[in-house]
Order: sequence, then structure tokens, then C-alpha cells
Amino acid sequence: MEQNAAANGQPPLNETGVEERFDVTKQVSYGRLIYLRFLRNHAAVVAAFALVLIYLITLVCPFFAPYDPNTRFIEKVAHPPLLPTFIDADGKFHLRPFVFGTVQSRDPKTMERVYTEDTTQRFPLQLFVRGDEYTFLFWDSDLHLFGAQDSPVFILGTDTQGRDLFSRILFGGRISTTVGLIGVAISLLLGIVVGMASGYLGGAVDSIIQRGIEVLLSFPSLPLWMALSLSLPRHWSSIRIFLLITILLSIVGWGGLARVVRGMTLAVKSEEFVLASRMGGGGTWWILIRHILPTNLSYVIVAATLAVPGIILGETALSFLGLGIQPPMISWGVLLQDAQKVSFLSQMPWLIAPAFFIMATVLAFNFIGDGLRDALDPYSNF
Amino acid sequence: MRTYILQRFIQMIIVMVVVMLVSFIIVELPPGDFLTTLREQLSEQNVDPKVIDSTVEMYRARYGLGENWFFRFGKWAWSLMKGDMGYSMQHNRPASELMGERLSLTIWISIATLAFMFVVAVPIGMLSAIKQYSAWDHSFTFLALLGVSVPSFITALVFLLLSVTLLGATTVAGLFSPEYVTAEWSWAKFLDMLKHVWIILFIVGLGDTASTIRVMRARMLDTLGEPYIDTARMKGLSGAKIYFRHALRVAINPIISSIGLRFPQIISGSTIVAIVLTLPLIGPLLLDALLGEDVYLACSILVVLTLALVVGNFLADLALAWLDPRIRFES
Amino acid sequence: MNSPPDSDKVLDIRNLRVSFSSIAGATRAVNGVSLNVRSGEIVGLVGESGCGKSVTIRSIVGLVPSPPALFEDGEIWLRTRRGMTETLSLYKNMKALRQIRGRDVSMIFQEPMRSVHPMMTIGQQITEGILEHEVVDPAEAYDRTVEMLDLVGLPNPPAQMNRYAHELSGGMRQRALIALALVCHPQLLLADEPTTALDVTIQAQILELIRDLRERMSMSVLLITHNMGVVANLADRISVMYLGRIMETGTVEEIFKEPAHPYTQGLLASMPSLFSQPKTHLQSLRGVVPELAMAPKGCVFADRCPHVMPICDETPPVVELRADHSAACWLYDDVEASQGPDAVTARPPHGSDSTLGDSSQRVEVIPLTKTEPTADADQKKLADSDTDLLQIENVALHYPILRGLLRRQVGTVRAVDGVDLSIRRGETLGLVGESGCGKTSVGRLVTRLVEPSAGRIHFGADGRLEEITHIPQKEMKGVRRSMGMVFQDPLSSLNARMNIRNIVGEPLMLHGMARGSAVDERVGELLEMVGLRAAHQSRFPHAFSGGQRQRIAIARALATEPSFLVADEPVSALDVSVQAQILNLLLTLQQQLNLSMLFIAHDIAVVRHVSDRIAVMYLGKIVELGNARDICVRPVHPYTEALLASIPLPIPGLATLQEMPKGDLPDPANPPTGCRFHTRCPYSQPICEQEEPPLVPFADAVDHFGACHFQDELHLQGVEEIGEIHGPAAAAGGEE
Ligand SMILES: Nc1ncnc2c1ncn2[C@@H]1O[C@H](COP(=O)(O)OP(=O)(O)OP(=O)(O)O)[C@@H](O)[C@H]1O
Ligand code: SF4
Ligand code: SF4
Ligand SMILES: [Mg+2]
Repeated sequence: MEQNAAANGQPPLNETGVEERFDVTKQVSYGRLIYLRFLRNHAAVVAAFALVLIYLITLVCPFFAPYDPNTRFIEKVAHPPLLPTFIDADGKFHLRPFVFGTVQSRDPKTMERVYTEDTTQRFPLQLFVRGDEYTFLFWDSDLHLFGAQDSPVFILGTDTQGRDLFSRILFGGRISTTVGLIGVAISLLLGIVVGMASGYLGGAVDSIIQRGIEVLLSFPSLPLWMALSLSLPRHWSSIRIFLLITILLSIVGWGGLARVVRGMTLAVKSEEFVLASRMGGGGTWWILIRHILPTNLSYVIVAATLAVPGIILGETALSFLGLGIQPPMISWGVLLQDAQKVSFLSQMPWLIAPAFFIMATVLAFNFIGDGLRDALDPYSNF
Repeated sequence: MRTYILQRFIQMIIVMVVVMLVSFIIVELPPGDFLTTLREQLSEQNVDPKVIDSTVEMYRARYGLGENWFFRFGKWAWSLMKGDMGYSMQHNRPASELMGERLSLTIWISIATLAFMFVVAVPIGMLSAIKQYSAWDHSFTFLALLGVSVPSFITALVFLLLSVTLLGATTVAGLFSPEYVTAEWSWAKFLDMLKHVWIILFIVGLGDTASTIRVMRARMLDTLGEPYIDTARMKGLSGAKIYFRHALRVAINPIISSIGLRFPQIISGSTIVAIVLTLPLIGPLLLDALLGEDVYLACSILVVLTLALVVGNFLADLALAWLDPRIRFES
Repeated sequence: MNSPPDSDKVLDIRNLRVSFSSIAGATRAVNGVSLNVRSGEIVGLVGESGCGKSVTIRSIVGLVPSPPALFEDGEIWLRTRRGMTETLSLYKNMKALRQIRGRDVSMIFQEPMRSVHPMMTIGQQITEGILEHEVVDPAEAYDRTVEMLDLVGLPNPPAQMNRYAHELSGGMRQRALIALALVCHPQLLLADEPTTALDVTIQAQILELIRDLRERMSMSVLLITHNMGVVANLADRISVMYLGRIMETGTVEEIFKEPAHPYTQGLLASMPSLFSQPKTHLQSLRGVVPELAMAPKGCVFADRCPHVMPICDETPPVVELRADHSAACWLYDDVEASQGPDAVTARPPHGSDSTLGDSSQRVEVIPLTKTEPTADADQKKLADSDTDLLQIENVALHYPILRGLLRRQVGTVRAVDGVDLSIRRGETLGLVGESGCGKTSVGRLVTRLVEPSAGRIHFGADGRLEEITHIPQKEMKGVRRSMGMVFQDPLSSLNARMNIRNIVGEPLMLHGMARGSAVDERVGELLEMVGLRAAHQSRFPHAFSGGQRQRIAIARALATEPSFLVADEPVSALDVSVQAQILNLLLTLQQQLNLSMLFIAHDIAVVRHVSDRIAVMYLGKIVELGNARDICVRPVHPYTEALLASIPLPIPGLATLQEMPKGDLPDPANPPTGCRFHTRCPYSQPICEQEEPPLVPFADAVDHFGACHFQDELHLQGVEEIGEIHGPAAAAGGEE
């Protein structure tokens, strides 16, 4: 609001001019403005915290999981979830939560296993207990967040082979959530490069790329993934299969991102600040990296956030069908395979638990993506 | 208009050829010689060695195996167009025979899901936009986000779990009541299917319905902010006329034009739901084919599904052109 | 206060207050507005953007979304077929409100391009309105629609009935919308900036149409605009609005001849009219319109007012200066003003002689403090003005039109089609024409932002002209160091992700002219040069207003100390008062730095004000070229005459004297044969359709060219002639 005295022959506005009273949002960068807007969306902030927690726990899963995912408790096959409690059989309150012991018997008619609580046995939960050994990033340890002496704790029950489902879910989560991130990273790379090239170069290149993406998007993704998974050599090591599956998922998924990037590039290309940069001496690369990429980036981040769920779900679905991650490697989809059989599910309904972890993760990504998109919306007022 | 249809038609043909080419490459991708696999499989099934020899020979001639890939692709595409979808080694029957009813049921169920999606999502999305920030809007906005986040196979699993634990069912609800499963098609069978099918539509369509609600709400909000809606208001029109006659037809456009992208999703969804609920759709057959490394069957299924999609896409474009004068007169 | 107004008022707004609630708190967009419209009257509501004009006019018919709007206070009385009705109280009764809309009161909007439904035919949309309000059979509705389309001057009405929005040009759409609004014969037409989005010649047509229809349909009009010129010749009375309040109300004559409120005076003074002294500083208001929440307490104009006094901290009273003239300003309040120290000098003697009116209550208006012109074009001696800095010969820019799958070329848009121009050292060449005529393309061709399809471009910063038509981009980078460019849209011309230092410093860094803290220093200098603070270079574009952003853009353009500046519509996106500041800044800088400038604009008054020479462009061709004064005084091409006549001049009662150009700008992909202007030219002869007139010298003039077959015979009307007819007093009215 200050004036050029020379330019219009009037005194400049005094120091208490309007601008000084302006609110703080005027002093900050665009990125920070988006961040502040994002913080106003409570659902998205909660989701962001939840997601960080999920990634943290699944990353350091050997510590958070009470057992090794492959440890089998032969005595405790198909054990139902046993939740810690504070009140014992006599109604007495204990500060330290504990679990009761269980006794296995067989239903005389159906011959199914039945576990009954033995309320005389109390096994208090303990923090930082020693248990199965593991290696985390070259670091050997046997420390686990929680456990109980003398008795196993199955907060989500065990599977048909007596393995702790909770531990398996954490280990499976490590694969499933990583697939999402790596997959999106690959899609992103492809999408940004192809999309920017398509949008910036235009003409025939653009036409060909766009038609190609159309063809790609006209395939039903799941059957296509299924068919592509045929090309995975079965005898390969599970880590290679894992990587290949991820690549496969992103090969199908990058098309959408490329379209977003192309659209943005086209829009930005015609913005006057790009012309201004060329006037100032900026070449193609300078403009792409200094102007078009940063301007696109926020939109691309939104698109990428919203693309992660697709890839996670793709992996889960494929593994669920037995076409993706192969045991002994675990993913959420692999864990759900057991739930597919009606007979198992009717006896062990807790086998569906991984589904809720999948949903929570996907929901968190969607909430964050929505929140980011709203925060970017130039029309939303602050 | 005519040139537009022609253009879209040519485009469709090109996409079809590319789709077939891509599918063909996928089939060719797996390592190992097809004929060797065939020979092994047939001998595993204790087929007479002479028959094996002649079958292998027949394949060599039919698909030009051993020729260059271009030639093979031509042969394969040509026989596909004649309706010959190859031969399933696993089932020892022509693929087309195996697909038969499953294919048409899959396509019909997908179309029905699409219709279900429209009928449910458009009114809900529209009302959410009209009553923005109302309790209705808030609850459906949340539900829609939830719906987008639940993949159809998990919905199917939850459904399975509920019917097993609550209803004590031992088999899964299919498309038909037990007495009709193997029966010939009849009016009664069709009615029976209608009784069961809506659950399937719900499970398959949930995710897409949810995301369509979101799109519809956003588009409707945009449209209601357009100046021509003010023009309509200033004529003294009632709310209903403004929403239905003026706003809806513009807001619904992107939903129609996104059918081309929705349809593949729905087919994907129906594939996996059919596997979970063991429905007589194409999904279980595809899985079977893949697990049994029955390449030609798998590939034929993929191609046929995709071609159906491409045709559907084409029809959606025509519908859009018919609805929207801007496209109609473009060329 | 609660009684209906007397019956000759069609509309009576009393003390309207509307606020908007947002997360940041409530802001009052309309703050005690009172306004009335009498039978058969056209009332203009004038003000800069964001001052609450639209909210006021939309409140009349309940088109303001609520929430977020809150109607705190006030009454709006409207004459309807059922008698006087208070519409604010009808908000709860939508049915009654709907019966009024379209029947008793209608509205046309700012953006004709977006106000017609894209998927319904024109006929459907108009008949729908009739059928809504009247019991008529469809055939009759159809006939009435055709009749109405004819009345608004759309050619071949029955054919228009079946057309869609995208088949009509902007001007035609606005005509169709007027037909739609008037088909039920409302008594009042509300027009919210009906011509802002249109070209000047089309604007003149639409304004003419509104004037004509007011007579024919005996209705009243409330017209919103930001352009004082638009209301001068159309309105009977005017209200001037600023930050949610009415500053001054009066008859057109009073407002233009004796504007009382400092804001009105400022608005009038900042308009570059066709009578201003070219290349002098316009008197501009200082500062910019603050955001509503930041408005000063008391008189909202206090932070920009040259007469501000201590008492202005309190809300000023509305002083009746005369029967039909009132202003909300402490200057005219007898009791209070005398307490202010400034008032002693600022106040004129009471009841002095007056040529206008004879009321003894008459209050003398106080003129805006006048500053001397700082420079005069005629005094400026350009020693090296004979040498050219830039020459373009026969330059063309053709865009192929590609269609279909194979991207076949089905046609060519000849955006620029053989243009010769030269710019001398230290000279400003103005380029003027309607939208789509290729002005911007010329600006981008001379800087090689687009590649020419034909022709040659020569440029020489250091005295020697060198051809730059096809030199590689690397070399071009060096040439561009001597060129700068300012763009139209101050919002999109600055990258929102970069701070001001990086935006302005970008050319410095790219040319290796500065690095590190040297950039900060130089950017600081540049910012101060354009009237901003050096300390603000760490801020981001969103912290600045439109005018300030344009200053930043100018600073960037001048960073490499160029000798040549291309200014592409640098002021058309800005408010009137800010527009004057930017023009002043450009003039000052040009003189300080001895810049040559290509100044592009659609407004010939603006172009005339800053240019030495003017080139008039029509459909990719230069149709007239000459000295700025000559072109305006004695135009030789009928198109130039039309452009001049279309400018809405801030002189009341001045109706255009000659025939307006007919119709719209033709499709540039398919320009008319022969003289491209023949489809709209009032002087067109058979030969014009066949032979294309070349750009040749006009009669005996040395430096004046025209491209009309009959330029030597025709006697076209320029500005000074108009000015003489209506007296220079009228012209100077705004400044005296
Ligand atoms: N729906 C709304 N929500 C919040 N604020 C609004 C809304 N509509 C208008 N405003 C605010 O009210 C003020 C006046 O706006 P209005 O549109 O009436 O101005 P105007 O004079 O018509 O300006 P212009 O010349 O730009 O059309 C502005 O500050 C604007 O931001
Ligand atoms: S009241 Fe004071 S500040 Fe407002 S216009 Fe009048 S003199 Fe200026
Ligand atoms: S040449 Fe003819 S049509 Fe063209 S401007 Fe002159 S008189 Fe008009
Ligand atoms: Mg407005």
C-alpha cells in the first residue's frame, strides 16, 4: 500500500498504513499456507497421525509384535482372541492387566476344538519382555513391547497353524504398506516424466501418449494384474516376487497420475509466469524444474496420496487370490486367504481381522488426500 | 455428428487392435514353450500318446507356433474374431464353451451394477450438494469416503462372515436358490436370480457408488455456482426445475463420460467378488485358468472382457454426444 | 420507516446491511446502503471491485447465498404487479419471491459467456420464462420469444430459437439474455456489469440497446458498473459506492460537473479520457481499495483521502448538498467540519456564486488537490529518435487448426497476417484493437516467445539493427536481456510458489548479472524504483494486491536494464484508481530510463494517453498507423473512428454521433475477403468486398498511414471535434 512518491506526486502512506495491520497469512509462503489450511481439517490431521503410527509400528514390527510370525503354538491352534482384563474371577481389580489361561477340549459332537478360560490362572502382561529373537537393521534383539511370562498372549487369536494373528498382521502390514509406497513412487516417476513430456511437448507426442494411456486404462485392472502375474516365475525368491508385484501394480497405475500431471502442465504452460521466465532467459529445463514441477508438485502429491490405496488394495487382492505375494512371505492379502474358506471363517471369525487394518490404512490415506486437496483449493478462504 | 461417430468408431477399432496385441504379448510373456507345457499337461492327464501328438500338431498348425510372432498374432486374432477363443488344456474343452453363460452373466451383472450405481449415487450426491453442510450431507460425505476405502472383496468377506455367524449359513448365497442352480433358464429362474442379485450388486457396486456420490456432489456444487443457474433463478423457476432441468443435465455429464473408466473397475470388482462368493461368473474361471497356467483361456477371458469394455465406452460416448450439444456440434 | 415508499419509486432500498461470516470473522460487505429508482429512470451504481455492488443488487431478488450472508438490517421495497412489496421479508417465502423474479424484476449478468445454459436452446430458455409466469399455450410463447429476439436485434430470430450458447458470440449472448430478462415485461431491469466482459464496440451496441429498450418498454434500469464512462451517457442518476457504503448520489450532470465527494473526484480524475494531456501524469488516488476487514473506522475512505481530517475517524453524515445531490463526507458538514484544523483551509466560502442550480442551500464542492503535470510529450526532445530500435517486416503468425484423430489440418487462424512496424528509440508505440485481433501475438512475436510463420524481425539495442527472426534460442537469450515484458494478468504472471526476491531476481540470476546478496540488493533497488518496499522481497505474491503485483511484474521486466519494454494490457485487469497509478509509473520509468515501449491495450483512450504513435489493428492487419494525436483527431480508417466512438466518455449527454459498427468481430480463421472490415463498415462499397486496401500514406501527411480504399474521400470524426461540440468545460469537468 505504499506509493511511489515520484510516480504520482503524492506522499507515501504513513507507517501505520493498512498493510501493517494485515493478518499473518500474508507473510508466509504458499506451502506454509497450505499446511495451515490442512491443519484446520481435523479428520485429516487425525488420519495423518494414525498413518504415521501405522507405518511406525509396521516398520518396527518385530518389536511391537509379541512373537515371530512363524512361531507355532501347537497346543493353541485356532485359539480365539483373548483380551487382557483388569478384573479377576473374584471381581478383584488388578492394576496390571492380565490374561486368563485357557484349556483346550473337543466338542464331542463336531470334534471341533473348544477353548475355555481357566480363571484360576492369571498371567499378568509385562512390558519389554524377552522372547523370539529377531534382527532389525543389523541389530539382533529379543526384546518385545509386551508379553506375559509362562503363557502366550493372543490378542487377536491364532490361525489354523497356531500362529499369533496379531504378530502376523504387523509383519504382513510391513509388506502391504511398503508395496503402496514403493508402487506409488514408481508410478509417480513414470507419471511425472511421461505427463510432463506429454503436456510440455504437445503435438504428436502428446497424442500418442494419451491414446496409449487410454488403452491402458480401458483394461479392467484386476484381471490384467492377474494375467500379468502369470509372467512371474514361481521359483523366484519371495523378495524378488515382491518387487516384481510392486512394479506390476505401478505399471498399471501410473496412467492416471500421468494424466493429472499432463493436465497441470498444460494449464501451467499457458500461465504468464512461464512466459515471463522465458523472457528472463529461462530455457526449457529451467522452466520445467523451476516453475512447472513445483507448481505441479502439490497437486501431484494429492493424486499420489489418493493413488496409494489403489496399489495397496491391488496387492491385497492379488495375494488374497494366491497370485501375489507368496508364503512364507506375509502380507495382509496372504493372511486373508484363510478367511476365504467358509468353513474356516465360520469357526474362526477373527481371521477377518486383517481386513480392518487394510481399511484403516486406506481410509487414512483417503482422508489425508481429501484434506490436502481442500487445502490446495485456491478458492477456499482462510 | 456423423463424423464424430465415425471418428469414435475408428478410434474404438484401433483400441481393440491394441488391446488384443497387449493381451497377446501377455500370453507370450510367460517363460517356457507352450507346446512343451501342453505335452506335459496332456500326459499328466493320461491321454493317449497318439492323441497327444495329434493335438500338439493341431496347435502348431492352428496358431502357427514356431512361426514369427507377428504371424502368430494374426492367426490368433483372426480365430478370435471368428469366435474361436482357443482351447482350454485344463478342461480339455474349447474356451468359448467354458465361458458361455458365465461371460454373459458377468457382463449383465456389471451393467446392472452400473445402473445400481447411477440410481443410488446420483440422487444422493445431488441432494448432498443441494443441502450442503446439512446432516444428510455430512453423513453421506463420511459414508462415501468409507465406501471408497473398502475394497469389494472385503465387503464380500464381511458379508460372508455375517451370513455365516448370524444366519448360520454353511454355503454361500449365490446367484440362485439351490433348486435353480443347474436348472435351465426360465422365467422362474430369472425371478429367483432377481431375489439374490441385489446383494451382489451392492457388494460389487459399493466402492464405485461411493465415489460417484462424491463426484456427483462436487459437480453439482460447481454447477449450482455457475452464472446460468442464476439466470434460471431469475426467471422465477422453482428449486426442483432448477435442479432437475438446468443443473442435473450439466452435472451428470462427467459421470456419464466416466462410465468408460468405471466399467473396468466394476468388472474387476465382480471378478474378485465372484471368486469369494463362488458365483457362476467369469472370475472363478479366470482364477482357475491362471492357477492352472491355462494361458489361452486366461487370455481369451481378458480380451473378451476388455473388448466388451471398449464397446461400452464407445456407447457411453455416443450417449454423451446425444445429450450434450457442445460435443454434438463439435465437428 | 416501515411504510412503503411513494408510488413513483420502482425500487427503494433503505439502510441495507449485509455481512458475511467466515472463519476469519464477519465482514460487512454492504453497510447501510440507501438507494432508489424511480419510474422510467436509469440509475447507475458505480464503484471499484469488491465494494459490494453485486451484493446490493443481488439482495433485491434474493440471489445472495445465505449462509454465509447475513441480512442484518434494512428494507428493500419493490413495485410489483401486486403493489409495493418488501423483498427482504420474502426470503422466507420463496414462492412469492419466485413470482416476482422475471416478471416484475429481471437481471442480466456480467459474464454473458457463462450465463446462458450450455445444453438448452435459446428458444427453450426464453419460453420457459414465459410459461413459468403466464398461462399461455406454447405456440404463443414461441411467437413472443421470436418477437423479443427480434426486438433485441438478433438477426433471423426463428433460426436463433434452435441455437445453443456455444454457437453465439458474447455480444449475441448478452442480447439473448436481455431478451430472456425482458420477455415478461418487468418494470425494473437489474444489470450487473452487463458489458464488462465485452469488446468496446460491442459494449457500445449493448448500451445503446438498453437505452433504446428502456424507452420502448417503459421500464427502469439499475445498472452496475465500475466504469464512469458507461453511466455518463446512459444513466439519469448515479450513486457512487465504496467499501459497502454509498459515498455520493446525484444526477448525472451534478456528479460529472461538480463531483463533491473526494472519492468521486478521484475516480473521475484517474480515468485517462480522450481529452487528457497525453504523456502526463494522471491524478490518481493513492493506495488501493483495502480489504473489507481492513477498512478504516469512521469514513472508510480516510486512508486514501487527500482531505482527511481528525474528525474523519467518525462515520460521516450524509449531507444533502442540493435537492438531488448528497454526499457522505465531513467536508460538507457545517458544524463538525469547522472543528477540524484542515477544514479552515479546505473549506470553501459558503454559498458562493454558482452556475448550476439556484438553491440557497447550495454547498460548494471542494476540488481534489491538483498537481502539475511533470512532463510533457512535446517538450521532450528525443535526440536519437530517428534511429529504429525494432523493425518488423511483413511478419505473420498462423496457427493451424487441427481436427480429428489424425490431427489433420482443417484450417488456419491468421492471428497476425503481414504486419510492418517499427519502434524508434525512446518512443512508445501503442497497439490497439479488439480482443482476438492479434495484438498479444504481435507482442510475443517481437520477443520471439512465438515463432513467426513469415516475415523478418530486426532488433538492435546498441544502435545496430540485427535480424533476430531465426537466431537460435541461446542467442535469443542474449537479445532478451535488452527486452522486458509486462503481462495482463497480475495474478498469473507471478509464480505463487516463489517469493518476490526470486521472482524479480530470476532474470538477474539467469543472466549471471548478480548472485547471492547482490541479488537481494538489486531486487531491493528495483522494488523501490516501482514504489514498493525493499524489505518486502521475502514475501510471496499472495500478500500483494493486483496493483502491487503489477508493480512487481514491472520490476522484473526492468531487472536486466532493458532498452525495450513490451507492455501487454498492463492495466486492463486493474481497478480504475490503480490503473492510473500504474500508467503514471510506466510513464515515469520510461522517461527515467529512456525506454522504448510497445504498449498494447484494447482501450484507445489509455493507449492515446501513453503513446507517441498508435497502430490500430483489425483481424491480424494494421489498418491505421500514425501520430497519437493525429489518429484521435483525424482518423482515416472507419474502424479507428468506430473505436473512438465506442469509448464511453465521462461526459454526460454525449451520444455517439455516427453509426456504430454492425455485428461482431468475424472469425479470424475465416476472415472476410477484400477489406476485412467491410462486414461491419458503415461506408462499405462493392469494391471493398473484392480488393484488399494496402496500408498507404494518407493524403499529404508524412507519418500517417491508412488501409482504406476511400481514406482520402471520407471525412471521419475524431475526438476533438466531439469535444468542441460539447465544450471543453465538459471535458475538463472531472479535473477542474
Ligand atoms: N458468498 C460470499 N461469501 C463471502 N463473502 C462474499 C460473498 N459474496 C460477496 N462477498 C464479499 O462481499 C464483498 C462485496 O462483494 P461484491 O461482489 O458485492 O462486490 P462488487 O462491488 O460487485 O465487486 P466487482 O466489481 O468485483 O463485481 C467482497 O468483499 C466479497 O468478498
Ligand atoms: S469524511 Fe473525511 S476522509 Fe472521508 S471523504 Fe470526507 S474528508 Fe475524506
Ligand atoms: S475499404 Fe471499404 S470496407 Fe474497408 S474500411 Fe474502407 S470503406 Fe470500409
Ligand atoms: Mg460484481
